[in-house]
Amino acid sequence: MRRILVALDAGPDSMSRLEQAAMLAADMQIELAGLFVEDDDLFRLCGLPVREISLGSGAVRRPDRATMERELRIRQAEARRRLQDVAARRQVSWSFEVRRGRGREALLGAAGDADVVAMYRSVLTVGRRRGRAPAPPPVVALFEGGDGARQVLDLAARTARQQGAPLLVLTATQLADEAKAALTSTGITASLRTLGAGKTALPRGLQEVQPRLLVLDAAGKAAGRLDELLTAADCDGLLIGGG
Amino acid sequence: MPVKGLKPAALYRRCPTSSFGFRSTAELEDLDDVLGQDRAVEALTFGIGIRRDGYNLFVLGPPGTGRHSMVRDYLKRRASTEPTPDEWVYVNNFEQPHRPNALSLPSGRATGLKRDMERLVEDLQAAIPALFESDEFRTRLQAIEEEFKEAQEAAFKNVQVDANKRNLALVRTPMGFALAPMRGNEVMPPDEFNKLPEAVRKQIEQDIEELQVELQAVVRQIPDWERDRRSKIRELTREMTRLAVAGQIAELKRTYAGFDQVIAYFAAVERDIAESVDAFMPQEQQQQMAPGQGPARAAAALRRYQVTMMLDGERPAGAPVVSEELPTQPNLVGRVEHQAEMGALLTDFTMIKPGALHRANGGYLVIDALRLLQQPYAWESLKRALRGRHVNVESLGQMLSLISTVSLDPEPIPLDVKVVLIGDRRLYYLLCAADPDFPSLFKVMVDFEENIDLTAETAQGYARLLAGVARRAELRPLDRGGVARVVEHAGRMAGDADKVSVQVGHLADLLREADYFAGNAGRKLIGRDDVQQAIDAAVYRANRAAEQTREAITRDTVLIDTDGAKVAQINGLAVYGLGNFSFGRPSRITARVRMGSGEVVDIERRVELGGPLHSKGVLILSAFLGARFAADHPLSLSASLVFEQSYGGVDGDSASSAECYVLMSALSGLPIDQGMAVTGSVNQHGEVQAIGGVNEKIEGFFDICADRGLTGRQGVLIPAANVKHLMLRGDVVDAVRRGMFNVYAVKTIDEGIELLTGRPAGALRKDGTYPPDSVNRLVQDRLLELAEKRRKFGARRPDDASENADLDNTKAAAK
Repeated sequence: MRRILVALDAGPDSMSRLEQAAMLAADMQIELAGLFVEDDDLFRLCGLPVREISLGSGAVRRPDRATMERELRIRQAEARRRLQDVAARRQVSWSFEVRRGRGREALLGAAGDADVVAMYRSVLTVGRRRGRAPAPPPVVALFEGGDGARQVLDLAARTARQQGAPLLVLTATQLADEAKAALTSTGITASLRTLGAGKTALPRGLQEVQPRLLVLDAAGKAAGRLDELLTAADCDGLLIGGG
Repeated sequence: MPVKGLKPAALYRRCPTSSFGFRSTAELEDLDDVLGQDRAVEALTFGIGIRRDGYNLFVLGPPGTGRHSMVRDYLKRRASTEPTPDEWVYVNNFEQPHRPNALSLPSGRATGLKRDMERLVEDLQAAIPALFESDEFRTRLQAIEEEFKEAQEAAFKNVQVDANKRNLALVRTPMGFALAPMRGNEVMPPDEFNKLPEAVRKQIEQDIEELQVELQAVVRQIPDWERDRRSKIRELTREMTRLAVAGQIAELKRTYAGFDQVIAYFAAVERDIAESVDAFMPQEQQQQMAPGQGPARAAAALRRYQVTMMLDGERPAGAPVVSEELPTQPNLVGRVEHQAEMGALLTDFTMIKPGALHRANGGYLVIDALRLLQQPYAWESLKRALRGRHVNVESLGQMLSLISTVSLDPEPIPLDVKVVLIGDRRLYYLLCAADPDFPSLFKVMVDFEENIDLTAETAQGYARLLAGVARRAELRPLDRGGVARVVEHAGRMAGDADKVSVQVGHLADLLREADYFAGNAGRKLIGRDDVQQAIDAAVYRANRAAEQTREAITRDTVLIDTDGAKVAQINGLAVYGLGNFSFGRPSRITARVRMGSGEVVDIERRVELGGPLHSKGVLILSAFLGARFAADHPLSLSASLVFEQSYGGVDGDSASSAECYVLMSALSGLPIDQGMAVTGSVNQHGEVQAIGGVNEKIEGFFDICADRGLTGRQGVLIPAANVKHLMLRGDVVDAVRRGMFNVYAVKTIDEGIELLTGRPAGALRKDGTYPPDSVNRLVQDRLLELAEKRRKFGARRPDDASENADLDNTKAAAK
């Protein structure tokens, strides 16, 4: 892996994502790359008869393009400063890039094969459901076999260790033996959970598990259903080999 | 019977070496006490011993009498036997940080407290972060965070679910949230929205407005959730911190059991640490917790647990003896320093610096009075501290409202100190007169003698004193001759043959200089010649002005006759002081008389060159003349007296006898021997009284005579009362021994005028007249003549008796 690409928007979630990505980058000794995405959806708001409610003051106002651009620039500068601070603290090299586009698409567009992409839920996904499991939420590694599977396990294990969270490997029934073998050979301690057949089995499994982070291979089949899976898991994701 | 010249033995008192039972001062021990200062020692013992308010000491006496060293040595001896006083420290007042608290602890314990508090902070800097790294804390903190996050996210999720049901999106914007119509998984483009039928658009807008109310309600809840979260975290932090601190504080409380103030302070520390836990976190974590606050601020947060000692380092056992060489107000009562931070001047209790009063508390403080009074506000502050019996750190800048910045008002510290001021007498009496507080605050006067009686015992003591001085200054020891010469010089310094000066400072200088000459001569002991050489060299270095004056006389620029005889002209003698050096020189005094109404005009006074004492002398001699010669008729003369070629001021009455002689000469027409010079004051009965500087005056006239060549007829008339003060130079004594110079001691004007005119003064007879041709008779006759003339003149021109009646006294003399 060459770098870890993390989307930044200077919000609290983004900061926590940045911190986790920086820990991972330090652990793996790879570059920390920040991408600030100016989401198209935000600009669309400016042409619609909508109101924006300020989180700090509760004030209501009509969004306009100039204000939106100005605020994004401020956020962008703040995100860059925070990236710089975190990278200095973790002693990792860093880079910063700004792109305009649609959320995750822009992020994936910026990612290369040798990148780990810290995925986030879209600007349209707000909050989480109540009623989480009492146990600490696990880091979930989606084991789909193939070349990238070991990297998925390795990265998920590192992240779980850093976050003090349990590691859960989800895999199809037919890949269970391969997953066990991979865990044994890598010495990674994890719970293993097999999924039933059918297209809904994975999203349903993720909904049940309620992970804190989903780690998956960009070359795997699940990556094609990323939006659906992250929505079902209601968490951020790490995509290995984003390009 | 004319007065005879004094014998050489009367002119100089030699110190006999036979009584010295030593060969050199190396054999002598140092003096145990101060030589000849019994009164001062007793006063010092009393002043130090009495433990009552206001019994502070003022040590007075001239500089160089050993006041400082004696007081210091005495106090040190005394203080070493006294208990070591408690130590004072300042600690933070957590309730009112601008009013730091003062704590007292037995000697040595304050340093321990300081160390213990430093160790506590160090330990907590490790223990508290470890506690916050613990699984228990992290889990509980995470639970709080999760609870808050869940509540918040769930609330937004509910809005989102409701929005999704109406095909609306809850969009996160840079500043907050917005509700927007959706197209699939994205926000509907505006142009598409505008193409929608109006009814649909209106419905969407209505849906947005309705949900907006719901969203606003959620947003309004956020501050409450946040407050709740913070409160829970704070409580958790407190609980965990107490856990870390309680054990250590309990141990400290056990260590300092019995010191209630200290125990109360520990309790306050414990409470405060629980509230200020961030300060104990590693710097990088503090940066995260409070971004923008520099390491300086973080360090400042920990400083509040420090202990500020009001002492400079460790001190020896016993009561302290502190000498403050620079008694400025801050150096006395302490000061509060400030530190510039972001352009502002900040301070805290760790920047309180102790003053001399703090260091001397429980002991003794020695200050030079003059230096103290020269420092602005220092005297006032010292008095305030002594009156109030506490020392209060006062900022001079704030006291005078010169600066207005954050400052402190530290708790005053109780004061128990004995202050010893050292100054000269003038200062003491000035303070007594000018400062009403002074007598009540400095009740003990320790008066040092500058001169002591010379006896065999004191001479021996003097030898030991010199031995000590030489030893301390690492000089060669003195042999007996050296000691004797120093004792003789001390007599000259005292201006008295029966006394010696105990101005040790000057003597020490003399010994250093004599040691230098002894070294040059390759001698192992300082001998008489070395001391003499040192004295001569010191005189030579200082007497440039004296030599110039002498030269002006010998070259006849300043007119002084040293032989012959003249009417109405006499040599008076004056002393000039330049720094520490003084010398004598003759001054010509002349008189003119004429008929008048009895006034003697002091020309010096008229032109404001004469001082009041000189005028007093002139008035006294006028009274003497009037009473003696014109008791039964008006004193009908007008006389004028002048110091010729005197361009500076003249004061003192030591010339009044000379002025009397010159007036008598002017009246009698008898010439005065110009080989004589005269000093002495006169009283109304014609007695000659003692004056000062007799040695310098004699030597001053001798030098002029010697320059011109001694005739054997020259000499000086001095008051008989001054004979005991004679300690003349060797060359003067030698000249007298050879019969080339004379010193006459006279008791009365009659004795003096006989010597000066060579004619008997004449004793008053029963008929009220003096013997014919005697000086007094001539004067009497002349005054009678003037009176008669005045009577006649007054009958002719009663309104203007004196005008145009100038009678030349030489003419009168011819008659």
